[in-house]
Amino acid sequence: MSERAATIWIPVPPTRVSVRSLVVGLLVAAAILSAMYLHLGPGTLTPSLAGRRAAAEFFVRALSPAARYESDVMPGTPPLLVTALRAVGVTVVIAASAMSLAVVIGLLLAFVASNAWWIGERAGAQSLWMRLLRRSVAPIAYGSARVVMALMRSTHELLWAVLFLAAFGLSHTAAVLAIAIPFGGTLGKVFSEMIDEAPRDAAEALRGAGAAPLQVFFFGLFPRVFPDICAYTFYRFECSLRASAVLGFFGFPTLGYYISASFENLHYGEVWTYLYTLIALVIVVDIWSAGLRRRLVV
Amino acid sequence: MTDDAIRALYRQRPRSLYLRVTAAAAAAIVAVSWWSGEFSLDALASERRLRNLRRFLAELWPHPLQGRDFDLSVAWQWTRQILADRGLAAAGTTLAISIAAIVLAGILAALLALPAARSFATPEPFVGALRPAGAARAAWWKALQTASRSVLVFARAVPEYIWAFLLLILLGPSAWPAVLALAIHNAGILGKLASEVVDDLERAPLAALRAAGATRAQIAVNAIVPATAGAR
Repeated sequence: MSERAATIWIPVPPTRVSVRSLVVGLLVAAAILSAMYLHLGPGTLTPSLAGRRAAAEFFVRALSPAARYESDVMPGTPPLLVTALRAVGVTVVIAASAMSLAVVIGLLLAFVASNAWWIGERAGAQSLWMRLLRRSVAPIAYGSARVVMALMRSTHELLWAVLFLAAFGLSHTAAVLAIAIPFGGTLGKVFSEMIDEAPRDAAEALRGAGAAPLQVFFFGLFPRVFPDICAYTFYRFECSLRASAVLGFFGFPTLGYYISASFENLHYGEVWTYLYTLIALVIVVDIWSAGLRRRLVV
Repeated sequence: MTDDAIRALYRQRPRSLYLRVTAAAAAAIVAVSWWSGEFSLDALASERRLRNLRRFLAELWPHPLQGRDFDLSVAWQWTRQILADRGLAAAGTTLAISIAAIVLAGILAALLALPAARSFATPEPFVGALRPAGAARAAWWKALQTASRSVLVFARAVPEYIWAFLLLILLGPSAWPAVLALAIHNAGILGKLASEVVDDLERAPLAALRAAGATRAQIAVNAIVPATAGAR
């Protein structure tokens, strides 16, 4: 008795190479190889005098953003700040429409691409149809949903924009679809992983009480991940705002359009005005979503 | 449990005005967006657009195969030609730029995530309620936190393209502008996400370490890094 009590187990750290150090080592090796491939050296990192002067010219204007246009404009053009606010409006409109579409796409795909509702079910009490559905249809749907999501998000929103520009021209529809498709794919992937990794306690209890698979999903699993889904959706909304602004480089009247136009005209003051508007927009959403996270993710 | 008891529980459920206002505001923004944006599929129906789209889709098919039956040897020849011309080199450059950029972004984000985390960048991390700090120290940490968060917001709010333009002007043509532009922009994103992961860590073990006299650096190296290194 006393001998046994004297035995103290001291965990001995494993001596083999851990996965983490392996990953870190591989990353470092990959980074060094990439740097060599690209001829990244300190030599090309030192800015030229002209470059330094041009960059200084740009960054000095950060302290004095333009309050009005830096060149003559057509009579009837709204003031600069009004233009900036309108651009914010268009940016938000496109981002919000795209995001609402992406959430619907993402939730539908996530339901099909999560294995929680059809794997690990006791087969005994099921009808023949349900068993057939689980054995054949569900895995196929699961696999194809994963492939579809990968295709949707592996093409960047700017490339989707090229496709939809050809179909719809410079319209809201083109911008919204260009953002909604890759974002829908990303949301679907992340949502489905959240659902599959969520604690199954409530789901098991419901299942034990005889609930049907869909009831288990909607009352046992989905409520558990709903706060995470909301928080992540909000973060992606910030991303879609930035994506919507960047689509302006193609000519959609969002903030990016005015940023690139002013940049090309060397009107750095105007560039900073638009950049500050974009930054303010991102900060507002950041603060809003931080408050949301504090209340949702405990 | 009787129905009354269930109803009483239901009435006591946690409710938050903030969440309700957020839900209402989000619904309103979405509704206004759909209503005010000029969405129409008419554009698709216009003859010119349809022709454009059809030509665009037709051009997606390899050029030597257009207007003839599919021939595997021609397709293979075309693929090999493209890869040999610039395809492989371009793919290699893309991969190398993204690896170099994401490693730099990860390092920058790791450096900024701790001072940007609300739970860490305070005079007394994790045990703030137990040991009230002086106003000067509180202001110092608040300033550090605000500065780090501002850097992160600025880095990710300025589009990659603007960063690339600027760096191209500054550094001239090499791979650096592309690598640095992606690194800066993504450091802003990764840093924000990492600081949120640190904020979401279980507080009790960290507070125990601090209460036992661990320094900030000791907590960071021995508790926060191991707990967050594998986090999504």
